[in-house]
Amino acid sequence: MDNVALAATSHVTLWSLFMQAGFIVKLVMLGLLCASVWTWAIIVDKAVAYGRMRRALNGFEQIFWSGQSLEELYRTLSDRKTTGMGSLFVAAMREWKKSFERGARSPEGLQMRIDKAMDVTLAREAERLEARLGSLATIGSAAPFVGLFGTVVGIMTSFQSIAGSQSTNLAVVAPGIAEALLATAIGLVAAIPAVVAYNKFTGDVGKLNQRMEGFADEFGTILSRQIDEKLQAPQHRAAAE
Amino acid sequence: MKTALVTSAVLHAAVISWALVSLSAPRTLDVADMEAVPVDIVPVESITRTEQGDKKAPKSDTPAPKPTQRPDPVKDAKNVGDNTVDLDGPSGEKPSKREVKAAAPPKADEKKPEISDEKAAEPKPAPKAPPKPKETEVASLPKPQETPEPAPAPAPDEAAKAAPAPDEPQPAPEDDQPAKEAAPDFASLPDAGPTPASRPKPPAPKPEEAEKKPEPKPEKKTEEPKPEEMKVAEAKPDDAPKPEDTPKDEPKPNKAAASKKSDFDADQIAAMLNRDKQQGGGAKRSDQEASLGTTKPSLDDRLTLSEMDALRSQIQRNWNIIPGLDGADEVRIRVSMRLDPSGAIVGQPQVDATGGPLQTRQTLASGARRAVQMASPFQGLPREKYDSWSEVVVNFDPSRMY
Repeated sequence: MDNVALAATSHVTLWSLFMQAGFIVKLVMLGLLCASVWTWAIIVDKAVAYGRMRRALNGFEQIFWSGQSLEELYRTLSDRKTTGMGSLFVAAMREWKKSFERGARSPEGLQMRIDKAMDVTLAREAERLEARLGSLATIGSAAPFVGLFGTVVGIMTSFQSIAGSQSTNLAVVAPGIAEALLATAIGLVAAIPAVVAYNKFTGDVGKLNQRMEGFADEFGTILSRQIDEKLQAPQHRAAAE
Repeated sequence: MKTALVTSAVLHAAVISWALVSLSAPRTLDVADMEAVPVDIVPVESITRTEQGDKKAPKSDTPAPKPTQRPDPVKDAKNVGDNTVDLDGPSGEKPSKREVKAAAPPKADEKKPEISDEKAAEPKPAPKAPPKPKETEVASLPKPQETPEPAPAPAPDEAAKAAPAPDEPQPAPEDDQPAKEAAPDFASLPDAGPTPASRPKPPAPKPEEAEKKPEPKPEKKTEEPKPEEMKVAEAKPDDAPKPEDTPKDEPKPNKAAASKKSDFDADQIAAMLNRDKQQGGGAKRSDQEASLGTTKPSLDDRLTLSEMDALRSQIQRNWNIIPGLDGADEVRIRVSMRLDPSGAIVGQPQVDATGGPLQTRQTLASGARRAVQMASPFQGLPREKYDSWSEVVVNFDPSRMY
């Protein structure tokens, strides 16, 4: 990671490069270092979260399509903390239950309410998945510029000191420039993983969202079929009587 | 998130500390010790067309520098003067007293030819050139190294004579007379210097002599702080004899001795410390009367051949030559015209055609006149040489222009 920066040094070590940099350049470097730490924190966090989400989706789909009764599934899931499809399912079932407990009779209204509840849950889940991806994008696009800023300032100051030293020998010029370039190197070190991770994670989020939307649609059709059956059953019964 | 943040921070700390500790500075590049060769592109006019004069001399047609006195020429010298080496700078009243030589590598075998060259190159007609008895001596001796024991009488005498008046012309016979005896003296002289700083002088200040005889300037000898260095110097008589390194202005025996002791080359340092004014200019000889001009070489103001060709080609470009004119080969055309500073023709160009049949001549002449007028104003003529192209004559051979 930071050995990219080291390659730019000549006969000076990384630490001496950092120490001889000016105040602004140091500030830039430290800021970029923090950005890098933050980037990797997000990367680790998201990688774990998405992995867990994917596993949860797989597990839930298995259970859901295993033929288990929805009532039973709802009972097990409702008192647990759920994610993804689980929370979609719970939200839809809760709405379903409430509506039937209060004796709803309009199938269209019930259908709409269930869809709304699932939409809200879906949005909430997507929001949770996408949280902090924006800062990855920001770091990815801004860090090189911040590093460049540090470099420009560093080169400016080093040129000033070169002018003071009255010598244009490369040995005089090189360390200052190497030190200034360190800022750009750190900026790139922070930015590259951020950009790569951002692209990967946005793709992952899209896939997960699609899966959940698909599930929501499927579950919506199942429920709407159920509603029709339930609402028609009394009529049949009444008709039979 | 907290776990992730901690993980990331730990990861960074690990990588950075690894980079700080285990990654040392990259290997420094091996830079071959090359000498930069400055390359300059010089138009040939700056060599063939420069002229030089004398600020105080009366004016004449062509400026010329002060005539030099020493006839011995130095090959390819560029600067006028009486010097034996070609140096920049104005040629002064006197050639520099010290002999400045290009630093030669310290090879013993090279010394001989060098010396004999110099001997050959130096007759002594110049009244102010100091005599060099030593060189002739050394050159005449085949192997001076074997005689470490120095100092016959005549040398110090000569020294005594020469020391008080170093600038005086020395009578020629003196050169030959002390030659053989003085030589061993120099043979014993330690010398490492490939770059002799000074022209040989009558051997006033040598350490050996100091031991031998009371000198006219005894206080200088006694001042010398390191007698043991002189011994060292004497202890190594096998060094090649170098007459040049005996200093002229002051006695410096310790300089010579110090140079023997180690790699430390006192002669080179002495050469660097040479504070004699460089005078005497270059070594290009001049035999013309001095006349007015700049002492620095400067381009004369005639048109150079390439400038003339440029002018000619501008005319030719506009010249429609009808091929197959009878007898066109024999016609020669001469165009004289007056130009104003912008290069435009003033008045009518005068075209003279000679040779060939009348008809052809007239045709070509009128063609030339048209061409000249179409080509006007001429481009590319140097403004500062306007004096020389305000009236210009161009000759054409139409047969070469098809």
